[in-house]
Parts: sequence; structure tokens; C-alpha cells
Amino acid sequence: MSDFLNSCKHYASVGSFQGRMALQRQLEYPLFLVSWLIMIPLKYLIGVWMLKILVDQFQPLAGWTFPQLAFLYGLGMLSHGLMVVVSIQSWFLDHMVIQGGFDRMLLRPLNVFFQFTFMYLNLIGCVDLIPAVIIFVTGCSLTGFDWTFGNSVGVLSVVLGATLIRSSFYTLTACVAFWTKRATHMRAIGHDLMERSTLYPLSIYPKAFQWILTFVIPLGFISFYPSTALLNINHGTALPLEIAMWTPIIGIAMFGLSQIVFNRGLRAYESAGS
Amino acid sequence: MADRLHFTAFWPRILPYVYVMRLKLLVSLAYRFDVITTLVTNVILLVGTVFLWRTAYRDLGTVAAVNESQMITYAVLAVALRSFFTCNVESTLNDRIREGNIAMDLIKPVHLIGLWLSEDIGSACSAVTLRTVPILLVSCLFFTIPAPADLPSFLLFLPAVLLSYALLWMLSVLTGLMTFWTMELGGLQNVKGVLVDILSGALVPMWFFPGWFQNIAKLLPFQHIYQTPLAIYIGRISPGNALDAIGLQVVWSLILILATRGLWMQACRRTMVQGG
Repeated sequence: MSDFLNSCKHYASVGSFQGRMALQRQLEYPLFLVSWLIMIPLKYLIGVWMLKILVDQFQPLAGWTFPQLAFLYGLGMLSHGLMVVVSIQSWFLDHMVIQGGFDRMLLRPLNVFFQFTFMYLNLIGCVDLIPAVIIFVTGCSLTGFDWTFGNSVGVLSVVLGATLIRSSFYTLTACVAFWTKRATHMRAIGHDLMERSTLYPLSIYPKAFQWILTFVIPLGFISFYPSTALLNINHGTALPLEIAMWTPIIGIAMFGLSQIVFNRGLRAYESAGS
Repeated sequence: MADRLHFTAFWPRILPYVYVMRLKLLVSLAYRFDVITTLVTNVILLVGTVFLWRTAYRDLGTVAAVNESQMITYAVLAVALRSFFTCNVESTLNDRIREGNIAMDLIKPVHLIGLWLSEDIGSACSAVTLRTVPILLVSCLFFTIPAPADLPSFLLFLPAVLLSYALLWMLSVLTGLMTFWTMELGGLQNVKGVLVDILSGALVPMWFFPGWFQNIAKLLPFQHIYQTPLAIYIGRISPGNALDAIGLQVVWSLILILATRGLWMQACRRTMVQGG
């Protein structure tokens, strides 16, 4: 038991050191930070503005009014922002496979998946959280979202669970690189699929697509199903409201799956870079 | 016996070559894999856009003088055009300048901008067969045959598309050339990307935006990139007015050519100074 505690302590201290180093590295390039600070919020604020234009010019989107759409968009963005902060390395896994980046990690007496997961803390990612918070807060106030204790816990668990789903999904798609040596476009697929399924209501798609995005690739749990539950929207979804908030459970399951696939991939790793 | 000895010595020597061969094979396979994955990305974009517009138009007839089938044709073609408008020149410039290779490039007896343009046109040609045609096929099979409003519209669309690509490509060069001063493109590339996305009508055409925004967009070159050719194609700009629109594209192209020329000369001078 004390062995276990000691190794937990060891892992925690290594993790925090790596985080601190990552932050210090990025503070070396302030201009880079500033340019992202302007562009990312602008991009997403305009994205939500386009939704408003669509609703104003046409009609509520599949029954979703603009306040509800803003809530959904904001909720989806929150986990996106968190994912970019804590788990951006899943975007570079393929690069590490080609450059032999795992050699170093394999030499250390630490679990490789742990090292990979806590490798980097992306400060610039906080920039993605700015529009997320602005849009989500706007959505909450426009829909009159009631911040009861239950709802707050719900939002928190959904955001954390959704962050796990996103990171695991990126890791899973990038793991293809262990075998194919390239996964750049896999990441693009993952990214586009997530944008399309988390920033807009799933109910704009045919039932078959909704079914896939619920049971095969459970991206619907990132923002769509939780939003229907939190806002009590009950048109066009097949899922009962109780399951709609299962985001954390699905997140943990996907995280486990990504670890299994990662470890399998690592066996196929041949440190091509050196 | 001698034969066997010969063989055992031969095999380890050839092993590295076999390995490299296998690696090369894997790389080419990976490229084919890239082709498929890029196509999937484009199809996701296509499906997302088409269903977004279908949902928006549900039970509505004509909005801002465009009906549902026109708008879906517009959206499909926007994805198709995006898939072959290759502008790698930005990243090329960024990489060459950052790594100092630009000095060697400048020695070469070719005009560099011309060289980069030919590279991108080459990629664009392969993109047409590998991405654009499959996207159009997917659209024909599952959504709609993206037909033009009429024959004159289609004929006018063709020169308009060429000018669109010219405009987009020169905007990329202008952005890329900034690397001579900033040494890293990161943020600027995104600024350009976001501006093009919003102001070019690639995602949502300008006619759905509020009036004040349309007025700003009219003063800028961006909407001539996607919106002008696509609006001609679906008949939102009638063949009579199309010539005016194409004229504007020509004017903007000339302005951007002059700007590129000027900036290129400045940049070369700057590189000389750096080289010492």
C-alpha cells in the first residue's frame, strides 16, 4: 500500500514539473501568444454570430432558438478549450512516431502513456477558453439557465467528461500513426467531425448519423445530449434524458480504450527517427 | 559451400536496403492513406454544410432571393472549390525563410514566385482528381446534382473561378512574404484564414449578413474569391451583371499583382541586407 502511495506521489511530482517546464517554455514567445489571443476568440465569436444570422434570416435551427444554440456552442467550446490546454500533444503523436520522439520516454522508468498524457501544458490553449466562457455565459443568461447546485455539478461533470472524450478521441485517431506513420489528416477528420457534431445540434442530421454519433463514436455526449438535458429540450432526440448526462462515464471509458490502443501501438513503434 | 558463405554475407548487406524499400513502400501507402483521409474530411464538411442549409430552409421558400436548391448547389461547390484551391506557398515561404533555405532559392535561375505558383498549380491539378471530382460525385449520389442556372452562367463561371484562385493565391503570397519581416507566420496565417472564411462567402454568403457588414465587405477583395463565381453559377448574379463582377475581380487581381511585386522587391532587398 505504501509502495502504491509512493509511486502515486512520484508520478504527481513528475507531472507537475513537466507542467511547469511547459509553461516556462511558452512564456519565451509573447508575440505568438498575443496573435492567438486575438484570432481564436474572434474566430469562434464570429462562428456563433453566423448561427445568429442563420436563425434571424431563416428560423430556429431544428427547433433550437439562438439562446439554446449559444448554450450548446458554449458548452461544446468549454471542453474544447480545456482539451487544447491539457491534451494538445495528442495532435502531435504522429510527428513523435516519425521523429522517434518516444525513444526518450521508453528509456525512463515511468509509464509511457502517463508521460505522454502529462507531457505538455499548452498555455496558448487558454485563449480558446476565452470565447468559450463568453459564449457559454451569454447562452446561460439568454436561456435563463438556473444555476442550482445540481445543475452546476452537472455542467462541471459534463465539461470534464467531454474533455476526456475529446482527448481520447484525438489520441485514438492519432494512434493510427504507429502503424501508418502518418496521421495528420486523421487529426483533421477528428477535428472536423467534432466541430460539426458539438457546435450544432445533432438533430439537424438524419437519424442514421445521429445514431453513429451516439453509439459508435459517442461525440453527441460532448455537448448535444447534455444540452438537451440541462435545458430540457425534448424534440428530435432518441435518447432518454437520464442517459443524456452520462458524459463522464463515456469519457472514462474512452480514456481507458485510448490507453489500450496506445499501448498496443507502442509495440508497433520502431523509432523511425533515429 | 562457397555459395552458402556468399549468400550469408550477402543477406545482411542487403538488409538495410530492404528496410528502406519497405519504408518507402509504407510512405507511399501512407500517402494513399492521406488521399482517403483528406477525402473523408471534405465529405464531412460537405455533409455538415448541406444538412445545415437544409435545416435552415426547412419549409421556407426563398430567402434573400435564393431558394434551397440554389443554396445547396452553392454550398456543395464552395466545398469543391476549397478542395482544389491549393495555396501551400504560405507554408513554403515560412519554412524556407525560417530555415534560411531562401538564400539558396534566390540563387536558382528561376523566378521564385513563378516556381511556387507552378508547384501549387501542380498540387491543385492532382487535387481536382483526388478530391474535387469525388466530392462532386458524392453530392450527385446523395444530395443534389449541382447544376448551373443556365449555360451562359456556367460559361461565365469558368473565368471567374480562375480569377478567384488568382486572388486567393496572391493573398497567400502576400501573407507568406510577411515572414521576411516577422520570421514566423503562425498568427498572421490564421488572420488571413479567418478573414477569408468570413468575408469570402465560403461558409455563409454575404447576402444573409446585415447591411452594414455587406457594405464593408464590398470594399474588400475577399468576397470575389468564393462568392462571385458561385453567385454567377447559381444565377444570383445574372449573366448581364456577371461581366461587371468579373471586371471587379480583374481590378482586384491587378491591385494584388502590383502589391505582390512591390513587397517581393522589398523582401529581396531585405534578404540581401540580412545576408550581409
